[in-house]
Amino acid sequence: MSVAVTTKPAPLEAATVSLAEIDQVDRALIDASASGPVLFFYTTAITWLLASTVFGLIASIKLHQPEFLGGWSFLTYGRIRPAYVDTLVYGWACPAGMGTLIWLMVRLCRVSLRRPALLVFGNIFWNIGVTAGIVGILIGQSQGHELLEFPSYAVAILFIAYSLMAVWGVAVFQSRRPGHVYISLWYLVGALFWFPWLYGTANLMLSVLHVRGVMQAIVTCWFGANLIGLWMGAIGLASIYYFIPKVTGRPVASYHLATIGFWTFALFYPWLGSARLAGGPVPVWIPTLGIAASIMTIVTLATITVNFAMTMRGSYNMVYHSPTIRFTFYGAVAFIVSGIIGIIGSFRSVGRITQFTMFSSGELHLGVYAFFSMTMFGAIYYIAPRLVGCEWLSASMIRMHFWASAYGIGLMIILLLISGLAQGASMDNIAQPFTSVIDMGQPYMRGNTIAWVVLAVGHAFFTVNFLLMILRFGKPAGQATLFAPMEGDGH
Amino acid sequence: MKTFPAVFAGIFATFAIGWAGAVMIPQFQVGSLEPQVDEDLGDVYPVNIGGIADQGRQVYKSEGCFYCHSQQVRGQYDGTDIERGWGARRTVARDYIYDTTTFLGSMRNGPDLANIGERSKVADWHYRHLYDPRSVTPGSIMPPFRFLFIKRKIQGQRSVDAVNLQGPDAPEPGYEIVPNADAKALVGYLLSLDRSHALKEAPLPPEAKKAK
Amino acid sequence: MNNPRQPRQLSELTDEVDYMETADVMQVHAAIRREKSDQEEGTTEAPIWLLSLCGAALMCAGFYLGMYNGGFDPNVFDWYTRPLPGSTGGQPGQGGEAPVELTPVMIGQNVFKLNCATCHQDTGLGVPGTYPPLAKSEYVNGTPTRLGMILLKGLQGPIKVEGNMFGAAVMPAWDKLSDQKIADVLTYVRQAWGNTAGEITPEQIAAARKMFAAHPDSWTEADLLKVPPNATLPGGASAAASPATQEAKK
Repeated sequence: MSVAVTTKPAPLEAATVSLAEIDQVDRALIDASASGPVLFFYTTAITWLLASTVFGLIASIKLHQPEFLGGWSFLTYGRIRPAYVDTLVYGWACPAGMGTLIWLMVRLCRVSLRRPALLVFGNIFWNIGVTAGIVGILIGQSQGHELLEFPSYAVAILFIAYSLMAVWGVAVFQSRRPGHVYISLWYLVGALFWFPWLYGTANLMLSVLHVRGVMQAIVTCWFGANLIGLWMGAIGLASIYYFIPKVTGRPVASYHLATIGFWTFALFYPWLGSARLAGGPVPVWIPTLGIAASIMTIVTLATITVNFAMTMRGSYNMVYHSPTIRFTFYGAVAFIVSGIIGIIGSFRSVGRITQFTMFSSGELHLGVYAFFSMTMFGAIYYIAPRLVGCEWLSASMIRMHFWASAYGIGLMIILLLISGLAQGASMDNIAQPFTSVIDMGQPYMRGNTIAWVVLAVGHAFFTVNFLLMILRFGKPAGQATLFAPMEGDGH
Repeated sequence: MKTFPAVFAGIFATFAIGWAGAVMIPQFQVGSLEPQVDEDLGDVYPVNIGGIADQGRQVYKSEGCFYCHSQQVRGQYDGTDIERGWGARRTVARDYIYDTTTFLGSMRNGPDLANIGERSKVADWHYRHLYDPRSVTPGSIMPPFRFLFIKRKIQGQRSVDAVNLQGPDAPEPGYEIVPNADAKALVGYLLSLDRSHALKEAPLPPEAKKAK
Repeated sequence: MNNPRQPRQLSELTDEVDYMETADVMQVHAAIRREKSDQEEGTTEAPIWLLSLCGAALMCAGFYLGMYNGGFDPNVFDWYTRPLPGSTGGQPGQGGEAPVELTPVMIGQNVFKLNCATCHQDTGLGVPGTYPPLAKSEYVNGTPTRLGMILLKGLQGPIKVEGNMFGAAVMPAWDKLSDQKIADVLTYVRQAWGNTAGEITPEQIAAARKMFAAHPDSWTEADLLKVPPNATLPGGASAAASPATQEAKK
């Protein structure tokens, strides 16, 4: 494919540079411009991932050893648990998602990343906000609502940070190359747009307008479901829609299915939050609407599943070669599983059993980790070499990371879901005193801690590998780091 | 949908519909409920209890009690809450209008607390439970809240506040364990939790079988 | 192997192409070169069964919404329409709980919990020395007249109930309660905790109110004992509603 070109660029009429090569130079320039901000997002995100692993492990141990570190007020379960969840969501997931969003946007809009200061300062403020928020929770200034615990000062900082990033996003999108708008870009624009509305409204209603009584719970459930289902879902799906075709070389099978999938996603997912309030002190129509919307999401799931299946047909063996495909495929399957569990769990007859148990924690981890985080890992494994200029040093470390994460989160989710069902069934049986319901859950909680240890191992490998990468201790850029060599066109 | 403005309008509209239906309409319905007033008795429910109970709510929030304890009683076809004695009736929206932070809770690692003030009126039990949960409830996984208590030398007489700790928890002779202001506020709040007053939209059902 | 820290010379990565790019771009170029290009989405048509699935889901969701919407009423919290087990029946509402007819005993219990239980306790056992018990009390199971007197005007001073003396606290007057509520709470108390006396009607309380309207203070034990144990108040439920033969006047 080499072209005979002299040191001076040849006059156009004599050039035999192919479109593909212009494209490559384009992408090279884009990636070079994106390198700083995206790596900054990833680095801070991975730091928070480590923090969340520590917090999560401590919280998990406290569920079966309540006296563990029991003397410290800032480590009491009621503080360390929200610290864990918020670190995972706002410290790791959001910045990792933003980093991926940035790279995908510049690639899909086919423009170089301009005004990196907006993003860099955005991330700096974001990290200040998250730090302030986590410290605030640990010293007891939580605002008392799930995923919205950060004290107001942290919320304000996060909002400013996000505004900077959103401004950048709008500018990039406006300056995009005219032409076909790829499906991922719809999801990404949606995500950019949805977050400020979500975060702004929720915090406004809770902290400024002080809505009364059960409205607080309604707003909290709405926000939580939308942040994880809609926002993370959008970025995760955008990533999956980009990387599977990219690495396998096969285009997304059907534009029509992708469109239907997107619109049903945008239409139905915002309603899912209220299903959690079934049986609660809210007018009955509110959870009913959530459950009805949940039934409708079967269309989204079916559409996306069929589309991915058709896209990947014949290329499933890529899972053995490409880290990106392996992680992304895991994430895609987790998305589907998470959707199905969500639908089943929303029905009142099931909800009656699973409410107030670890089942909802299992659903949370399915969405945030098994789907979103694994997809982000896949994205990072693809993107980082292109930004740094060298390849991952160790395929075995990637392999260890994958198995630890895959088995770790798989074990955790299965334990949480089953313990939820078991404890719930027990709680539904009035012959069982409450203490026996708790006792029944103990073996599952111990298993959960084991799952955490496994996850921690995986994160350790990932962090080391990433650290080596950004310090440029990597393999030369000629050959991708794969699990097993691939024939044919490269990764 | 080839034109992006149309796509963006769709993104906006779908989310706006969701927001309006899932958040704004409920706000109109339950966002400005007033207490139920019974003219004859001068009976108002719920009452806005300020003071120590409000401070206790802050402590409840700051310690994250709601991550393990719910404060909602489900109806008789939605769960066994009433049969377990966690409330005389299901809770409804009006029960929470004066809860500055409403702790409906979404997990039960411990029993529901919506009516704990009606079930358990003895402050000393709460103090002992906070100090060492397993001394009053074997098998409990509640964390200890010893940092809410002060250990001090007995000055003359044992103070009225001192907690009656037994066994290994009891302090050595000459010392007593006293709850600090946060603990007192928290217990004051817990003792105030009672949503068993009948409401028009939630009358008291006929006596349900109680679980042991 | 070269020191990976040194930026690569483009010539090491490529054959003989020199696009005069900057060092940064050269870094990334190698990976880009082997990368597959972005492709537009394919045009496979959506399968027809997806449309049926869509329709089926819409029907299920619509059906569910129709069944369990409670009329979109903010006061309807329950999805079930059938009456609760053991309830006195009542017409099933549209997705709401049937409002159970409140009996006097139920109302009375409520009144008791709100006003009386603080002193007389939920158990009706009172507090020794301070608040007299109501369970098996001779006053509770006795004449309605005495009960009317106590509730409407209050009671102070020592009193002997069930063989024990009480008197440290004052029973306040509850005349601000309506006749209905006083009658109901008395009815409740007279059948709770092993008490076996009959109900008291609002008419009786109204009559008592008129009877004792002139009396300024609360009663004492002596006043109560002046009322014969078989005295009745007019307007009672039983057919033998005779006017009180004696009236305690002070």
